Amino acid sequence: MGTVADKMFSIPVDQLTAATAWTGALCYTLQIFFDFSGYSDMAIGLGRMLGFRFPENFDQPYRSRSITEFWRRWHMTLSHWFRDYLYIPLGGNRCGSVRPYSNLMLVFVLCGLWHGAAYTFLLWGCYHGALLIIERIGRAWITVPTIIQWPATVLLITIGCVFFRSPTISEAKSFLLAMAGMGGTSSLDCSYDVTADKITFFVLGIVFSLVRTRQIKIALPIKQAFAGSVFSYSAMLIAANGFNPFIYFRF
Amino acid sequence: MRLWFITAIFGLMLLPIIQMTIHFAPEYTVNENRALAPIPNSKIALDKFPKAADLWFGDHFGFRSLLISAKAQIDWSIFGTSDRVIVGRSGQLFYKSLENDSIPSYESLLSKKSDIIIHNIDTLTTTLKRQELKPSWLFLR
Repeated sequence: MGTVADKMFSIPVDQLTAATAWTGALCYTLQIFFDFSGYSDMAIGLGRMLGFRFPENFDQPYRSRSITEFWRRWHMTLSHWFRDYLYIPLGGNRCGSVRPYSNLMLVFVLCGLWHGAAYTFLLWGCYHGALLIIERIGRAWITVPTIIQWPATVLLITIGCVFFRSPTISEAKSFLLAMAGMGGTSSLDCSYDVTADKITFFVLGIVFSLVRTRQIKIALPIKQAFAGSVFSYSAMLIAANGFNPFIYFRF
Repeated sequence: MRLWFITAIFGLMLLPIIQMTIHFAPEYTVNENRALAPIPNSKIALDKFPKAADLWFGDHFGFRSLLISAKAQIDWSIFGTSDRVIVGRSGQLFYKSLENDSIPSYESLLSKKSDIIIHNIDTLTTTLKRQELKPSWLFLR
């Protein structure tokens, strides 16, 4: 997914079509989840080898039906840290009717800045803070139909990922305009990059990020054969394409 | 069963380093159109040593060529694709990066500098005609 996302985000903005922009955004949305979730699982596994038990960091966040639920499932250790050491000391939910919203925004501004000193991260933090505030206020007034809760949440998360991935706010804006069909035109053929193997891994990525695989009873030898195959293919990918650094290694 | 699996995965992880050390299996070779990273020597600066060692290891770990070949074979046999080349209709191979990236590059260049390019082609055409030489390129107007 990373190679496709990198390719689509490297296309000059005047050449970005809606198809390329959506392909890039969706691939990056999957990439960042598996990248960071895998990174966390490695830390948990290494810790367990040394006798430490670390908490889980992700709980299939793309299954969420709201942004509030998303933040209960995504990067849980950071969310808990911000809740315990910033949100609650600031007064949490029990300090009037307006103050909780400003606390929430402050937490997400700092959460954005935690990822790096860049305007894009700041905007990403503000975006999620604003979405949470809108969700809290809106809950009393509007009930979003169940059928659109999940797609709307995934759409909002994907838009947020564009802010996170783009090097500048201007490029993020152009990318989002392209996603909305207001991009440029190009003869660039996406089929050269979105090949059968990439489509297969994209579908597998969606399945593993949405389906509760732990609840499906599969015989241990089948699980082990699958894990062994994935391990071997990953070794081949590293040998052929080199090591792609983890997105979160710099945070 | 679990212990056997853990041992097997651990064994697989150790295989490349064992192969590098004792060369227990015959070497498989792939032709690469680049020079592989050399082994870092004592002349290299201390701060550049980790990077040089990493590059050398990345290019020389055991079974690397076999893994590259297996990946290309899986891509072609299962998915009918390749990371690096496009297979033409008559079996010709084209570098994917050159073919695909050149199109937006030309379009971008033409959209920004089309006047200059057309002016230069016109000037060259006029000059060649003046010297009674017949230009035969595609852009001739």
